[in-house]
Amino acid sequence: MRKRDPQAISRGSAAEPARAGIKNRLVPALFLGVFMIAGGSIFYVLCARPAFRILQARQWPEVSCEIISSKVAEHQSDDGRTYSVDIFYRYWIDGEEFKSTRACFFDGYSSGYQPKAAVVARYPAGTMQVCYFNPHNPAEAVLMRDFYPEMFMIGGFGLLFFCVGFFPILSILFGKNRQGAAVPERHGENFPYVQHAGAARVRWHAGIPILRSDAPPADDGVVLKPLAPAVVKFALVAIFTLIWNAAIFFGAGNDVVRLFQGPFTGINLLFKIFTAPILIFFAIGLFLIGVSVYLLLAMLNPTPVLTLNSDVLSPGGLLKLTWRLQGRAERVARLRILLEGREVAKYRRGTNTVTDTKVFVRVPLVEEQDPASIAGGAREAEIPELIMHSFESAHNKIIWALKVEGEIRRWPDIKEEFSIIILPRSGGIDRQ
Amino acid sequence: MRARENPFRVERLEALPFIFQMYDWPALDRRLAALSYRAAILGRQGTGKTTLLLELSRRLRQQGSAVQIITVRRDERAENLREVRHAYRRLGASDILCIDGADGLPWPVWRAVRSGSRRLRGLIVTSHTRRLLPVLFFCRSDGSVLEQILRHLLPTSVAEFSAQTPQLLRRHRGNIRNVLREMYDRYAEMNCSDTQVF
Amino acid sequence: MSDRLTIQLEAATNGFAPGETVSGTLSWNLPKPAQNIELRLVWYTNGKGDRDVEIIESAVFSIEELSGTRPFKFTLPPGPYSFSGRNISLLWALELFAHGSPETTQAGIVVSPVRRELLLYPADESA
Repeated sequence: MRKRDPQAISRGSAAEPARAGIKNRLVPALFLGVFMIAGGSIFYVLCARPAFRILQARQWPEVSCEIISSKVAEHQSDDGRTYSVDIFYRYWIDGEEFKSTRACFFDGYSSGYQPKAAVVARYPAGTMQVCYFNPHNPAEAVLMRDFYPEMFMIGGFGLLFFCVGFFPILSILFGKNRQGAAVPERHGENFPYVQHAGAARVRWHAGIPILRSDAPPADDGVVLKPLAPAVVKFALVAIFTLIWNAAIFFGAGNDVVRLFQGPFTGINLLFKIFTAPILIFFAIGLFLIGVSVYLLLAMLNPTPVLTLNSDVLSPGGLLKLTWRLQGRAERVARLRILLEGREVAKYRRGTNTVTDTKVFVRVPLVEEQDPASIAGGAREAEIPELIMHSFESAHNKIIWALKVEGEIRRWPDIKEEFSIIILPRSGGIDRQ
Repeated sequence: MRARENPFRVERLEALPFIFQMYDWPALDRRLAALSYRAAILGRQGTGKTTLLLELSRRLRQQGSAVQIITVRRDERAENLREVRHAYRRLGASDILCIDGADGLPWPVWRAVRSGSRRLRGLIVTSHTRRLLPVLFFCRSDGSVLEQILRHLLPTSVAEFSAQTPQLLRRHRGNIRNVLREMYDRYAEMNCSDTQVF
Repeated sequence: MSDRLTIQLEAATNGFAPGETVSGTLSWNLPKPAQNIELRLVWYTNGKGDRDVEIIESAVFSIEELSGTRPFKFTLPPGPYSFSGRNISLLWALELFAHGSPETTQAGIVVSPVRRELLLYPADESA
């Protein structure tokens, strides 16, 4: 909350304290850890483990078996009644008799009676059926080796919860300001996938970056790599796409099919009109698939690796840049590296916060079309004496970034960003 | 167009007076007194609830009351609770507590605030739709309010912008604050140069 | 702004470089006694984003008379520079308050290596 007493500019105002320190991170990390453990457990037990065993069992040889007993078992719990398939069968391998009760690998109890009854009806007592046994352990066998849609739905939700806990925990525990330096909490929030060059060597005070007296020297240069590799971006989007499309397919797949079947008259037409909005969700699912494919292709792009003489630059100083493309650099038709300055203003809009960004300067540092130069090179540029330094306050920032743009024909382009820090100069400049 | 010269900059917006349509301050004062200083200002987003609350609090201070204003932010729940507790320790029987965005408080917290405020002189809140307290005023936005705001901000060039107001209000669904933000950009563009490239 | 409180800078201009000293004289002429007056060196933002304010330094003067003068001196930090973009302007100021009174006054200063406001968009210079 904010106390409001707008008499003059500085009366009653207080700077937002920067939140730092491991103590403030443990509580959210523990809270998120619950999500991670719960989600991970659900995903493993109800999806990953049975899926893996089904895949294994599909290599198992088949053998005849006799169904001894077959019924739907009922279980009473606080939540009510649940049902499971209870089939007891025997089979022979090389004259030796084995017995088993495993019908399938997805053992979850549920409240649905009909599906269990349908399975039991397929395997009546006293009949001869086919089962599959583990050749490495003949005592292990199964009647059905099918995948169940419920596995993926439940597993998908579990994975989602796992991700909800896992990635934020990584960020909280291993983020740049772990050492408790007074880096404002929201530093770099506009660049979620950007390595924050210089963040460890400066501290922020009253809006300006100050080189820390205990900062290690950057004699060997500073290597910048994308903080979140393309594979992470792809994985996050792909997981969400999978969950979204699975939910649409299993929840409303039949309705979508029925929309295009049957006559477009009378009651059918009415049904089609009411269910047509489902197509929006379907379209979103297709869009997400498109984005996933785009990111998958982008994953195969060469990775730009930049080395700077220093991640913290001073006015009048020299920016020495070397670049290298890891991977198939020959696919890149044009490479540009620019230094970009932005003003970023944040304001409240009701209960939401909106961020507005404007680029005020773009300095081209590298513009190459020669394949050898694209693959790697070096450039020097002088930082002007008079330049607006990096600035950060609670709602307003001046941000400097190195942008790498690699044009690849008929393929997603390379687009990476690395934020850098420009210090204020001390003293004045005497100009005529 | 330098940011500090833009007539729609935040400093000017914060200084805007609340504009009544078919109502006035004496009538509001009477109604507030009749409600024993326990009332809510309702209205959709961007219709001036905060502006009205701030101006009302200034008037109450001028009349001799001690007023404390707390702004609720939905993404700072823990801090919200701390501030409420802190406020109650400090406030006394002659004080008025104003809560901007009270509908953002969790229901148990709001109930505690409401019952605890009975020992204070008054409790005035803003809310989007929930009638947490008897209604003091319902803020609405329309073209004439926006026109008057534009006359405050652009005394000499209001005509250029007033033609756009109906369309802007429609697009932003009556949210005057968002309209003014868009006007910030439009005014800046009128004196725009491209991003400089060396 | 009050005319009962004034800030007079020693320098001929209000432009300063980072690290330089801002000095001058403050004066007051109050209708009622105030316990003390306070002079603050602040910067603040203006523009599209919500306002940020930073109090860099503050000097409190105990006063017994209804009117008087006092000298002051602040050393400017390395930054931030006074600048103006499209979304953000950053301005520096000296603010003088009389505690227990609504009287307040302000004197704007400019802090940058060239003692002038930096423009992020140079075309704004002609605007």
